[in-house]
Amino acid sequence: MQSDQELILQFQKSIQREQTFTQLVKKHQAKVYHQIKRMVNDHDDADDIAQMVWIKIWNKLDGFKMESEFSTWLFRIAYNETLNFIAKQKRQGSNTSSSTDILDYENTASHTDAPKSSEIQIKLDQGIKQLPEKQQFVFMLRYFEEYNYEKIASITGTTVGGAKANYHQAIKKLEEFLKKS
Amino acid sequence: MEQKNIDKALEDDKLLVEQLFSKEALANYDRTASDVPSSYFEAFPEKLQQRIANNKPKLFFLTPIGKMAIAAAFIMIVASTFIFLNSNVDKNLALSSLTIQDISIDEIEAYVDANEWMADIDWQSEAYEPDAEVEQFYKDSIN
Repeated sequence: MQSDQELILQFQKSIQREQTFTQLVKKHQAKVYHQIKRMVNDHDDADDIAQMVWIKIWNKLDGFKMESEFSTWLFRIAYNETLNFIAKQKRQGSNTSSSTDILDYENTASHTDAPKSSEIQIKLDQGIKQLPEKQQFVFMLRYFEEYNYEKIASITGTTVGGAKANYHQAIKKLEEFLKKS
Repeated sequence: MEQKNIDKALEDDKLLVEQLFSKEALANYDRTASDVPSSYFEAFPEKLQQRIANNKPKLFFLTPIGKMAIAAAFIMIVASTFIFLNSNVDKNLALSSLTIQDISIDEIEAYVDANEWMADIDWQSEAYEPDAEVEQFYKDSIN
């Protein structure tokens, strides 16, 4: 399999642009989609944002200078697009599907006398949702994607110290949330 | 050694969350978030290419090459204007810095010779237009 750098150079030299781009998409689409889905909790929204991200990549790939890893650049665009989408949704005052999902989940769990693990699941879900978006994003990149803080800092446009602080603040808020509930 | 430290830091960070929620709950959370309709990823690249094709700018000046061509034309106009204005300034500077010592005597003589007839005309035109009062005084004194 060709490296990202090789594929990008091929794209920039206009060698079979569509095929080269498709190879890049296939390599990274799942990770980008999952990260977006974790944030928006809805397949259609995640799909729409993912498409927007890849369209931006297509439009700007000619100017990509490879000063950072492609995946860092890709996740940075995904980060911006996702946060823009959430902000737009908040402005429009639309009821997010995620909040109703949680309520449904909660009701099902209580009526069916679900095991204790489900309660933890609900609290985890709710706890993550109440975090500010940036902290959510950082938390997911660190815990689920296992990225180092340098990469997380580049993605979220902050310092390494800032990224660390975001992660630890997220955990502190989750802890407080658990105590309250 | 450094990699070990990084791994240890990651483990510690993950442990902080796993102490609050179970590892299983976190794994379940990720599994739920990662749910996708069947063959979604197989179809995604093609769907994306179609959307890109629909989004392609139709106008030449909106394409990357078009934008570059416009930028190049603009730079050419600015550069040629700058060069043109500067060349005029240079000429004026050359003329204004010329002194009489820079012109050879031969050149001055040649110029005077060439323009002598103009000096004659000027002198003659003045001669044929005498001052009226002087003329009258002259006539009166004769009479």
